[in-house]
Amino acid sequence: MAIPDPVLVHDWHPLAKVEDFAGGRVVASRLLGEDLVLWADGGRFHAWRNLCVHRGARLSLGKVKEGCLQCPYHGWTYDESGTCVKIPAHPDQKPPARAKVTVYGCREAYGWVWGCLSGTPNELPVFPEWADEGVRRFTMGPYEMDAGGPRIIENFLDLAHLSVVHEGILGMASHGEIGRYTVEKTPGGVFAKDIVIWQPDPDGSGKPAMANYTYRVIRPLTAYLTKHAGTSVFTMMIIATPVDEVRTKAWIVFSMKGADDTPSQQLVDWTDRVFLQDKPVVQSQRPELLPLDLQAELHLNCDRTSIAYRQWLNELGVGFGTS
Amino acid sequence: MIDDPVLLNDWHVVARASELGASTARPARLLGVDLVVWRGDQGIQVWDDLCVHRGAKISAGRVREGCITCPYHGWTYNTDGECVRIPAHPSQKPPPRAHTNVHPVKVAYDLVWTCLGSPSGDLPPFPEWDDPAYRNIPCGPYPFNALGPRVIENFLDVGHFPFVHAGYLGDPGHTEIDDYEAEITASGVISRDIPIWQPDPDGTGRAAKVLYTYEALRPLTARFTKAQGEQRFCMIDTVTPVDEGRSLAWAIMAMNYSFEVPAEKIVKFQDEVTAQDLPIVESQRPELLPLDLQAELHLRSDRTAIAYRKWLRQLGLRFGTS
Repeated sequence: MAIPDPVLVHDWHPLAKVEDFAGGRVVASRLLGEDLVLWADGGRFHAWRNLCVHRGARLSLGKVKEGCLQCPYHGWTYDESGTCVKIPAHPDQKPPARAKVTVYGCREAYGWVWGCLSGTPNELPVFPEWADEGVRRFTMGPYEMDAGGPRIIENFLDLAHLSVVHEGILGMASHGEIGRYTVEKTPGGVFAKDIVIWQPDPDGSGKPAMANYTYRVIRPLTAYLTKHAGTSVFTMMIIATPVDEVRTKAWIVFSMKGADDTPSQQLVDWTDRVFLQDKPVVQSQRPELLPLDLQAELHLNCDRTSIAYRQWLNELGVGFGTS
Repeated sequence: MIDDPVLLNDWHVVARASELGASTARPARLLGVDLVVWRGDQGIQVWDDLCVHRGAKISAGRVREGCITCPYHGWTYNTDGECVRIPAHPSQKPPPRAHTNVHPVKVAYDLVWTCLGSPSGDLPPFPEWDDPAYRNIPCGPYPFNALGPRVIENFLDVGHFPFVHAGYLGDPGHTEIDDYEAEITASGVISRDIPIWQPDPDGTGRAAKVLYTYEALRPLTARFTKAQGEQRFCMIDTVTPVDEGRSLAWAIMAMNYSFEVPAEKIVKFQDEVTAQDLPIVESQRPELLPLDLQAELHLRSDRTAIAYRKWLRQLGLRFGTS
């Protein structure tokens, strides 16, 4: 495979939910333009190229059998290492050495199965609240968008749309002005703090408050938000899985400390609603590939997080989903 | 138009003759070219589906008095493809450029065949059609989002029966394929008398080994004969290359036994078998059949496919191959 992106290829990307594998189901997926088959056996997860080397059929149409994955076409059977161990048309013949599937990195975290196309993967992004028994934690998504990952992350970091796209929830038309805030760009990412926004319903509890935002972009397609509003602390991490350059699945993990009288389902519905409001706008953006040249689109004071994000992507050399 | 001299000069099916009424035209598509097929006084016509006046599709028009009329401005074409009447100027003789592109037509096996170039040979033979010992049963056309060479190679494939057609044409308990030979001849590829285990080869419910003989007759036409004692089940499969991503597979079965079994039941069985093949063939990557034999893996049981790929390379087929 031609390496689709020298940076993203080393990152972990969520591909499926653990529950998708119930009953031995085999899952078709796609990451960075590469078709993948995902399967599980005995609690171990596998992410392979979705192609039987014999006649190019998709292994995702096949079956898990006795710890192996069987091709749907001629029954070629591959063990956990991706090596063909059985060719039913010639049961006495040792399968040829070339009869192997390309195997990728695969692991489980946050109830999701993650894949990495590189043999030298980076660390998984950490959501610190996941280990904290004292807060409520949720996962959401995947939200499928016909848009590139960088456009989705930039929208997550965007402040000025809150009073327009999410009016009545995260902003009000009468309070559209964005004040000064601090942005730092380091080799490890982008950090924006001291962002203060008046919000009618900052966290799904239905109580208006001055919200104080802090953003951390920790990987090109992973960002983390902390929001203090009233007595609650709300955190959210978004991981945008690049299906291909203009299709993305966004995965969300979030936590809530405080607002104990708000039912969990209400928090989940609130998040869902906010993402569905963003979807048509982000899908409409042209060019679909985020322009890293800062002359290509217009940038204002309120856009300093996205300016830093584009500069950082450029320094890292992220090509996929950018122009 | 798809630029492949081998297929441009070959015959392809665009309709079933018995389904063409006297007053209807129907659209077809071959090698990326839109065609109109209609029945005129002089026989079945196959033309480019384009009125030269404003590019409307003639197939949406009407057949009347041996002519076909464009649905847009009523330009009327005779069976030579010449415009004989322009209603907006009834007294003016239509200009000589007002004619359509007419393609040669042959009708055989109740199928309408055409050729977009200069025919390089005859239609593929199917002698059982005229043999009174046989009953002929047409089936299809089956649309595939896959290209002809992958569809034909699947038709020639013996190793997939126990997996894709378990209970129909194969049994997961009998997967081994005995040795056989495949031969490239002057007229194509032939693999004779391949013993194949089948759960119910003749409808009696008794499993047995039958002998399959496969032939590739044209790049996108193949047949097999399944023999068990005196019983013969033959099938010809010809794939119309619709465009760069789609195919249409037309088939005829011929049997010299089980005349009492209704044709609908036999067609239904074949429909189910094709529905089993469809998702697998559509999933194959690359979509273009690799003629370089190093690109995929080949075993002894794939000898027919190896010979087919070599033969396509000898013929110089470009379409649907890499």
